[in-house]
Amino acid sequence: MANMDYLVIEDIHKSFYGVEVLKGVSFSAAAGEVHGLLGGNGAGKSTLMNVLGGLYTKDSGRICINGQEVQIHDTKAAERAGIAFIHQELKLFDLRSVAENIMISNLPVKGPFRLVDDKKKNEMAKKYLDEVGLSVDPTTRLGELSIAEQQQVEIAKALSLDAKILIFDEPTSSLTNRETRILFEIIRKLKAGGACIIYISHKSDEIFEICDKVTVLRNGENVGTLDTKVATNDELVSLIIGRKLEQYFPQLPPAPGEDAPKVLEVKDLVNRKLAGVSFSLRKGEILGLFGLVGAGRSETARAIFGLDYLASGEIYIEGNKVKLGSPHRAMKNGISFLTENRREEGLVLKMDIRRNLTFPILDRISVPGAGYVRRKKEMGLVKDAFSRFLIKATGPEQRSGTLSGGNQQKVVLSKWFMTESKVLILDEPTRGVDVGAKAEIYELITEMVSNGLSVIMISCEESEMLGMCHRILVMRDGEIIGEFNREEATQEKLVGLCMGGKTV
Amino acid sequence: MSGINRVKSLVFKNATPILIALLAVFVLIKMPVFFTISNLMSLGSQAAIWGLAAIGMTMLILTGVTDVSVGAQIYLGGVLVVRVYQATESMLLGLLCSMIVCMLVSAFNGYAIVKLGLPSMITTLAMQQVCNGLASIIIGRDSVIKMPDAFSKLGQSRLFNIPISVIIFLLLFLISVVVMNHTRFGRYVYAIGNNSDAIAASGVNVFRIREITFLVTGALCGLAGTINVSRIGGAQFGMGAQMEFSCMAAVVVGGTSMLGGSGNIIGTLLGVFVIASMDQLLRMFNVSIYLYNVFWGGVVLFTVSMDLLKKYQEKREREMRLATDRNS
Repeated sequence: MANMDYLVIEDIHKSFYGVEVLKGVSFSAAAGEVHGLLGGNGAGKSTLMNVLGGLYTKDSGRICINGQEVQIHDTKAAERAGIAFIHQELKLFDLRSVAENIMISNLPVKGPFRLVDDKKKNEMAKKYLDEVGLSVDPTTRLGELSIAEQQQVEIAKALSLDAKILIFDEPTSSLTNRETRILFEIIRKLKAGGACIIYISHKSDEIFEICDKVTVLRNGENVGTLDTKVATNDELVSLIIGRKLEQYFPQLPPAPGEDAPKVLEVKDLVNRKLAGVSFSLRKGEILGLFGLVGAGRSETARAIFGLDYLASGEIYIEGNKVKLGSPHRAMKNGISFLTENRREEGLVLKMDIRRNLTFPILDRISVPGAGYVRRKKEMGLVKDAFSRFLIKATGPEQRSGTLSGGNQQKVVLSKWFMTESKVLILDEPTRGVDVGAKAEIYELITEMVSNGLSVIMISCEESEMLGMCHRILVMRDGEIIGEFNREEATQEKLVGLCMGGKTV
Repeated sequence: MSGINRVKSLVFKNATPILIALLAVFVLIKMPVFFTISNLMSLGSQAAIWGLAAIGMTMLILTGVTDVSVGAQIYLGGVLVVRVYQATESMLLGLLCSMIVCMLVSAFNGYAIVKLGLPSMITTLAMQQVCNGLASIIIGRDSVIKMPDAFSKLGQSRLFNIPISVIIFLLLFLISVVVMNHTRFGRYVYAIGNNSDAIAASGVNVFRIREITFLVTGALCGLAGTINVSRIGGAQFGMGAQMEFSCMAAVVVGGTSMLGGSGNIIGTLLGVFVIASMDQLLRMFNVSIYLYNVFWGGVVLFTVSMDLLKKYQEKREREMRLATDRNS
């Protein structure tokens, strides 16, 4: 084999529910190198790293470490192969001591009863803490440390396992600038010690600072590896978004003018994820909310619909101030919400399509008071939905869990169209859906909007935003940081703004 | 699938019918007197009491919780009826009082479990203690209260030679079948056990639906308590004990999964019949009370394990099918 790098990943495939997330990814990283991994949401970064960390099993492909092929079936195997994962959300025991957290996988024991040797445990932990430069007493309870210190404990734990490959998943997301400096110092030290470091991040300035090379993933494929010493931010951005627009978008109805009535207006929405979000939606408009995962797009929608707690803020529907606070109330006021996770919040998978379609509208088709469901009326509506919304199934009695992703999504979408709401919020309406079904879903949305529906659309695909929205709001850290009209929006502007790197 | 696996799969999927068939054959040979009308009627009038509670219990278990306080509620309700009757000579007032108190008890259970998120087993176990204690206090030192004959009119009268308690049970059962299979409420109950999040996100007030399942259970316990004291002609210390266990056994034997979501109300009718028959048989065979407890515990453990084994079996079959699809 020609490739002599320390870690070599070749042709990894991985599918979930028939949707291919990794389409033959290859990449390699050398010892003593910090290798950045970048890509838009859903590009496959996390999936790839979870395959490496033993959380998912690959469908096919090879992983070689130091020239030897390894099989990583579970996290234990990953540990043995010298791979350590520093998670975005730390996975440590708050109530145990620092030493215990570091040594948990191989606690030293003594005596005939194999009791834990506390003295040795603390000594060993101290050694690893010194290596990462964290000066805390090993007997301190972990919960008393700051997040940054806890992260350092996690790195010390990785060292105790003799890890040669360290994966950092957005390690700076909850660190201050000063703490980030300290982390970078540690990473440089590890690198000098010969470790192979994979650094996942959305922040291009960090990538340029700490990484030697950067690999970009898009749609489950490696689209290029750049040397950070010579690459520019523009090159990076264009790799991330790609150049070709593959989908066909239907002709949108014209954007409503300034005089069109405001169907929904929100002012200063605040909760733990939102820092004062205000915007308005006009009748017949498709408004896009764009941003990275966690930027506050879905969180805004969930807060409006009452699925998440809203600390303060005002919501107006057709000019009237309303108090929502629960999905029940939101729907009574004419708001519907297609959540991003159809298998968890969209469908009751074990029940048939008919029942799934009519959950929100049962009061309309049952005898008032008694609640007896009029089966004929229900069947009529369901049959109508089948033909109007192009659901492909053996019939209304097919279990929704056995449908393809695209048809499941059409069922959830139809369910909300049937509510005849004024406002429909769509969170990732085409996630995990094949291209054919995607085009049909766009077609359906456009048709409903021409009939007077107003839509808020959330997506992490820039092309979908550009192709389907009259207006796009860009969010970061729970705030709206930019607004584009359909005419002025470009992929470069959207991605550049939400990554917050150097100007594009 | 190999032959042995096919047999295994058939056994798992049809555990209850197989059990019933075996039992029936055994009884037919050993104790033909069991199948006489009078024996079946006496069996029915006892089973109707806790059978009523089993209707509510089915709804609760479908949503994924259980209620071990139903027996104690039947006890408390019954004692109240007796005391109210002694004071007013009104059966109706007693019934109302019993139903209201049991509904309050269940409403609290529902609030604690659904709104506050307490484990249902612990909450209702504590409530069982509370109700048992209260009922015993109300009975007082008498420990047995004999009532005049008029009091027994409801529980001991018959219509077309069928005990009135059995008729009430069957009637309410019929109504519950319609409610569960044809109304909004019923559909939500099934769905909540499967995926409560999806139902909440569909704009349904999940708390309200679940609270109603508790209220229905309470109301049925209040009614059962009334019929019970009327049938036995008075109140006695500790009556209603272990009825929650018969209920639970009937529901799981009837094919409703303790994990919630799957099962159906009609199965519970079958379950009530099976459990009542086995109970009667154990008495007819003069089995000692200790062995009797061992037997009932065993039945419930067995049925619940079968339910999970069935789930694993189905999962394995699904995985095998997927693997075959992939590699063919």
